[in-house]
Amino acid sequence: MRARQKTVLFAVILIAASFIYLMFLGMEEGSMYYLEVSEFFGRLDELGQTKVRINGEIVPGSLNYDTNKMKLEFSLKDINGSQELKVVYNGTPPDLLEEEGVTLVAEGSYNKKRGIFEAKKLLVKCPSKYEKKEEDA
Amino acid sequence: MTDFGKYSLLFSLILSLVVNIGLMIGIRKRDGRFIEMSYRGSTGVFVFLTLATAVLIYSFITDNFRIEYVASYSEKSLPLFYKITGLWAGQKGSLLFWAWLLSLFTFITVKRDENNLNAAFLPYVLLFLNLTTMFFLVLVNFVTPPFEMLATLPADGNGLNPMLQNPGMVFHPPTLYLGYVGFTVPFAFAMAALVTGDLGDWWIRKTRAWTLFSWVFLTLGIVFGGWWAYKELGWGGVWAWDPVENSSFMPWLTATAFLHSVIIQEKRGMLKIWNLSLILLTFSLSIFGTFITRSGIISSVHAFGQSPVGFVFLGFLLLALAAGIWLILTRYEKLKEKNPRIEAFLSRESSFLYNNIVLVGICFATFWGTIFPLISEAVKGVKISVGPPFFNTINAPLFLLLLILMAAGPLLAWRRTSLKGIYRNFLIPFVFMGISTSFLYAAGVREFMPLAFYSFSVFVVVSIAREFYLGTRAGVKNRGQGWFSSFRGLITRNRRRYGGFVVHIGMVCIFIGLAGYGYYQYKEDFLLFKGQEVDVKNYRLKYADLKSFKKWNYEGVGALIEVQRSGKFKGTVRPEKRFYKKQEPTTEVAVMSGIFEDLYLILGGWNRDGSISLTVVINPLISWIWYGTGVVILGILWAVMPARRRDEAIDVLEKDMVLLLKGVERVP
Repeated sequence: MRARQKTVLFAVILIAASFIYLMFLGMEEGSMYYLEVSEFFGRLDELGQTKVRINGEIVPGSLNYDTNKMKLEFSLKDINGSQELKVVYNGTPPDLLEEEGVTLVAEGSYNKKRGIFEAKKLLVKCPSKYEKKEEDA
Repeated sequence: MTDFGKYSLLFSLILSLVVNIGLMIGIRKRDGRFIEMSYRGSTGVFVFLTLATAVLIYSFITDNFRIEYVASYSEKSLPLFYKITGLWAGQKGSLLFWAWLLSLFTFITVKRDENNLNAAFLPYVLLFLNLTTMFFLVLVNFVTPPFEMLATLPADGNGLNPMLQNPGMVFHPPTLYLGYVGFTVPFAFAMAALVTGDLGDWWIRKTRAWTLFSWVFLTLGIVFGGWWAYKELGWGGVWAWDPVENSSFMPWLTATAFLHSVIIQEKRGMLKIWNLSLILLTFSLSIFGTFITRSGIISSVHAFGQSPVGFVFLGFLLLALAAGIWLILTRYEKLKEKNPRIEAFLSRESSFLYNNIVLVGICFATFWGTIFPLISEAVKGVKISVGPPFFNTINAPLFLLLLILMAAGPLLAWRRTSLKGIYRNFLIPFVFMGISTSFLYAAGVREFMPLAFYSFSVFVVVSIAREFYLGTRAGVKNRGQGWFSSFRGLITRNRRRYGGFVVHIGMVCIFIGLAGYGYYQYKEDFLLFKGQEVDVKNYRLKYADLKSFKKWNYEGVGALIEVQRSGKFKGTVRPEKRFYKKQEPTTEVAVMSGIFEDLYLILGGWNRDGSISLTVVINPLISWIWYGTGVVILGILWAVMPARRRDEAIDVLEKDMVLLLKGVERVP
């Protein structure tokens, strides 16, 4: 291998190394537990204040939006579960919340004192007809 | 009528089976008659699939709600435009559309070369294309039949999801499909090259137009998706690193890498295995994307039907990957490079190589983040999801690296670059960059990343402008042409090079837009009473009134907001909530779009006292993404237009460039 080729190889290794470093950095910052409601309650103690994502179904009738305070409150449960988790979110409510059986992902952390999950982000999984129809068929 | 569609599909499947058998016999026995028959057969597959597609569109137009698919995605009062595009509104129609596109591309490929006696590769190409078509035909016949009937005729259809009633969403799927399907053609050629053992760059030259065509549609598909998300989803951004988005982005990355690395194979005969692997990867990733979106194994905001189709795709993907890898391994001896290796750390080749590593790196990171929940569940027993911070942390620096390579690459010479050459070529862009960096810093752009993005954007644009200028001047000085005709000659003689530069400028615009909204988005929530005014940055917003209104298929409530920017009245906009008769309610954002920034208003809700909650988002430079995409398309169009007397022209041009680089500016 000639010296010049060695420099090419060196550059490639350098890129690869910084890439791996970035991967670790990114995982540190971006990864989060993704839990069902029951799983969340099971890990409540070890989780503490860490940010997590929780996937669940909105308990029918639990939805309440206070326009004045721009505060959204609802409870999440697993589709076949009974444990309910109270969630509060400040901001504009996303679309499609009023639908029956909407599942969503809430990102945030648990406030132990108030016993409420404080969501910073809500991702609604739209039950678009894509799904409903296929289940009927 | 419906039966006609159904039987057309069945007949296409039988025909495609016959084509494959014919090809295999023909290839084995070296019998031209079987091959000839297969060519005819592939035309037949195209004809029958066209018929089936036409029947489905006709059923949409005539409101034939007996067909379950039509009933699910249309209704009587839906505008004709959305009825026709109902073809790809759902999974069943999409797959039919996909199969049809594939048969069309196969038809074109065969027609182009069937009378070319030198086209010994064509039977193999057709074999791989037809195998892929067959896979889709099995799907539309047995797994997701689009002509399935309902037991009873419903009075009306379910209608189209209102979020999909948007031009962005209408064009998003077909453009993506065109991209995905288009890459099947170079893939089939690559596989044919492997099978025949004729591993030169002929397959790359033959499929150059296909590659560019598919790439531009893939790009367009992704941008349409982002545009739709921006206008319709109402969270103020264009990209969220959702698995579904990622799945269209990954093949784009490998395709972009492929687009660049084939140039090295053409010019220097290097990187053969790499190119074959990239096209295999691009094809596999487009299938993988379909697997992810349709199987629902990775939770995504986009909910598609969670049907077994996903796993059928997974099977097909594994099969294609295994076949591809096996072919490459068995031909490894032939593929080993006898040609010169990359010689220097700084050269055109090495910059292409770095570009490829970065692109594949971004692809790998994206892949990793997308499937990590699955990995962690398998290994640790708990799902760990990876959010946008992961993707941004790793991909933003890589994109910056890409931008730097875009700036430096074209300025480096093939083989090796002398320091003197670097100095000469880099000086002017570097000076411009320095000036604009100081300006930006003075203007308040202080963070490292955006500052770097914008500075290198300037570098790229200046260096490209310089290329155009030098090339034109060479024509003027060496051949005594006028400036205009020299310029025209320059860009028509080497379309790929100069079209490529235009694409780069477009990409720079897209980077500028992404950096602007990514680093400087501003968001604030307000509670407003009727008549109240509020100041946000340099805007003054006045909530004038709340109005409800009725349209053909929905009722809406909209807040009238009067907008002033820097003291000047700019107009009244109306963010809305819409309540559809048959569908979920949606939020309709109001966007006031400009070159420098977008004002983006979301109506959160209203109270009995007439007050509203309003989210105000200011997205700097976001519209540059859309302008940039336009520029990219122009560049590609320029590059694919057929050139006249190409090789000769390139020789002349390169001679000019060599002279120029040597510092000889005037030919005696």
